[in-house]
This record gives sequence, C-alpha cells and structure tokens, in this order.
Amino acid sequence: MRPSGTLAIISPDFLITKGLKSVIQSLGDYKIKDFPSFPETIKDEADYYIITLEQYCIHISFFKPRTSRTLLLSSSPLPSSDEIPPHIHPRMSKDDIISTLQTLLSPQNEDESDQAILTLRETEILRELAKGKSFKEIADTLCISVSTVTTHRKNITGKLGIRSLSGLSVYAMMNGII
Amino acid sequence: MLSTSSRLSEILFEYPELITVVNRFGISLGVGDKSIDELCRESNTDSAFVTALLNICLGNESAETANLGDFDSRQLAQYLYQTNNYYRDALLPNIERHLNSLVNHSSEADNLDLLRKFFYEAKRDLLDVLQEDISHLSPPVDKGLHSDSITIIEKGTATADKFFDLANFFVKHLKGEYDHNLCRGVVTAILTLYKDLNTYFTLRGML
Repeated sequence: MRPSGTLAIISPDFLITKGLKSVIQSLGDYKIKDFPSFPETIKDEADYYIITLEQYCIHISFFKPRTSRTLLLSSSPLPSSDEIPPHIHPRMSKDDIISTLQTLLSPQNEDESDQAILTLRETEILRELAKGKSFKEIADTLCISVSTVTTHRKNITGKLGIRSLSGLSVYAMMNGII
Repeated sequence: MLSTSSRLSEILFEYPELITVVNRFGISLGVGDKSIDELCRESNTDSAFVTALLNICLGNESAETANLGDFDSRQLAQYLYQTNNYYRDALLPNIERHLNSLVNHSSEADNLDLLRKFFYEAKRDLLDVLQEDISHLSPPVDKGLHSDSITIIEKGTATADKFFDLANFFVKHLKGEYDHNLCRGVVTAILTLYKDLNTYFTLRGML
C-alpha cells in the first residue's frame, strides 16, 4: 500500500507549489491542500506542513511543536540545527529534494509517542548530548556526520516526547544513562 | 463559538480555566447571569476584544483569524502585560507550591529532586523572558514584529518547551509511587502554564 496522509503546502509561489505537488504525489497517495499564506481554518488538521521560512518565523509558536512534521522552503541553504525543521531550497539536487521529502513523510514521523525504547546508537548520542557536547563534537567522537547526529536527535525527541536539551539531560540522569 | 451576548457564568462552568483570563480584564468571580458584554461595560473593557481572546483560548478560533489586528494594539499589549505579571505572581508560585508539597510528602524523592531542579531552571528562563518582554509591553507600543519581538518569541517558545517536558516527565516517565492527588496538582499546574504560554507567545507575535 502506498503511503498516505494529509499535507498542507503554504507558499505564495504558484510554481513551487505546483512542482512540490507533482513530486509528492509520485511518493504516495497524499491529500494535498495549498495555501498562499498561513490559512485561517487549517489549525492542526494536516499530518505534514511545507511552509516558507518567512511564514514559519511569523507562526513559530504553531509550528515549533510540529517540527518533525514540518519542512521549510528556503531561498538558500540554512545551517543545520536541531531547533529548526529540515528545509529544501532551489539549489538542491532533485535527489536531495526527494530524499528530504521522503524523510518528512516517512512512517517514523507518523507517531511520535508510541516508541519509548532508544536504540544503542540513540542512547550513545543522548549520553553525549547530556554531557553538553555540540553536534559537531558528537559527530567527531562517534565518527558520524553532523546530519546523522541531527537525525538521531530528532528521533530521540520523537520517541521520548522531550523537546529541550535540558529535558533530555534530566531524562539521561533519571535513567542512569549518565 | 462565544459571542459578546454569551452568559459568562455558563462559560466558566464549562471552562473554569478561563477564570484566570477574565480576571486579567478586571472581571472577578460572582458574575451573576450577566453577559460578557454587560460585564465588560462594568469593567470598562472592550467586549469584542475579550470575546475574541476567549475564543482563541478555547481553540474556537485561531489567533490569525480572530482579527485581533483590528483592535487597538494597546489593548493586546495591556492584556499581555497583565498576563506577564500573572505568570510571575500566580502561576509559577502555584507550580512551585505543588511541587514542594509533592517532594515533602514523598519518601523516594530522588527523581523528584531532579525534576524540581529542572523546574527551577525553566522558571529562571521564563522569568528572564518575561522581564525582557515587559518593557516592550509598556506604552507606547510599536505595532509590528521587530527583531526583539522575534527573539523574545523564540526564547519564550523554547522555555514553554521546558514546561512541556516537565509535564511529560510526570505523565510518561515518572518512576516510583507518589501521592496521586499531589502529582495531579503538579501536572495540572504545569500544563495550565504551558497552554497559557503558547497563547501568550502566539498573541505576542501579533503585536
């Protein structure tokens, strides 16, 4: 069965919206609604959101709790950060855009609360985060890329439902990880 | 959807969490059978504005669709100013009181001590943000989102996340046996603040 869900694209750019719709519909049976600006009636009814960086900043309190279900449309590359959702921009290759979209729409993003057990790798990452190490330091320590660390961090937050770094440190202490 | 002619007593029976919201407009309990409009006239408040805010708090309407921009920005700033003080004077002490009571009545307090420290960190962060914001909310208020506002909203949202995490620790990750009533009191107090903070920073973005 092809993956499915509801998706909202919020962008004033008709061509970008049209192009994204075409790509996303090739990835699954998604019901897509498009809006030129943040819609009045959407509230939390979409499973996924694709939104311009500008609109994201204006409505950050709405999107912050939905980071794992949000993708940003940026005009240029953004620094990799766990604080902001993943993004796509016009200079990315077709494969990278599709890969980023697939990550957004992957099944692990569909349920953030139903998985409480961390993998060994995630536990390692959590331990390093709780020690106060940066993503770069963790990547160097574990010989992995920064983007892999970022992905693990997102998955840890998804599984535990803990959003803040301090909260993750508390969890690590409560569970004897550090 | 509430309207200015809705009877406030009926609303508060169903949604007691709105008591603190109407308090911020100078409306106290003992509202009789009066409508929002009648009570607002008594407290010299704009009933359309109060009704719009109550609908936002209940999720009947999003902040974006409520057309708060049509109201005088001073009204919104005044509400946020009152709310800012309310967090400091009432909601944060309320959580602290419940949390201390829980810790003091628990024999296995290791986890709770950690959570209390986490609360103090979140509290300190929130007080910093509130202190920074209060100067922007004092008249004259410049309308329009500027860089200071964006920074405050980002910091505030990150701080709200800590309170969410704190509630989450109690709901999902707590280990050991604790007094059920005291735990419920703590969680309710934290979630009340967390939900209110989300509304605060959403409204803050509209100023």
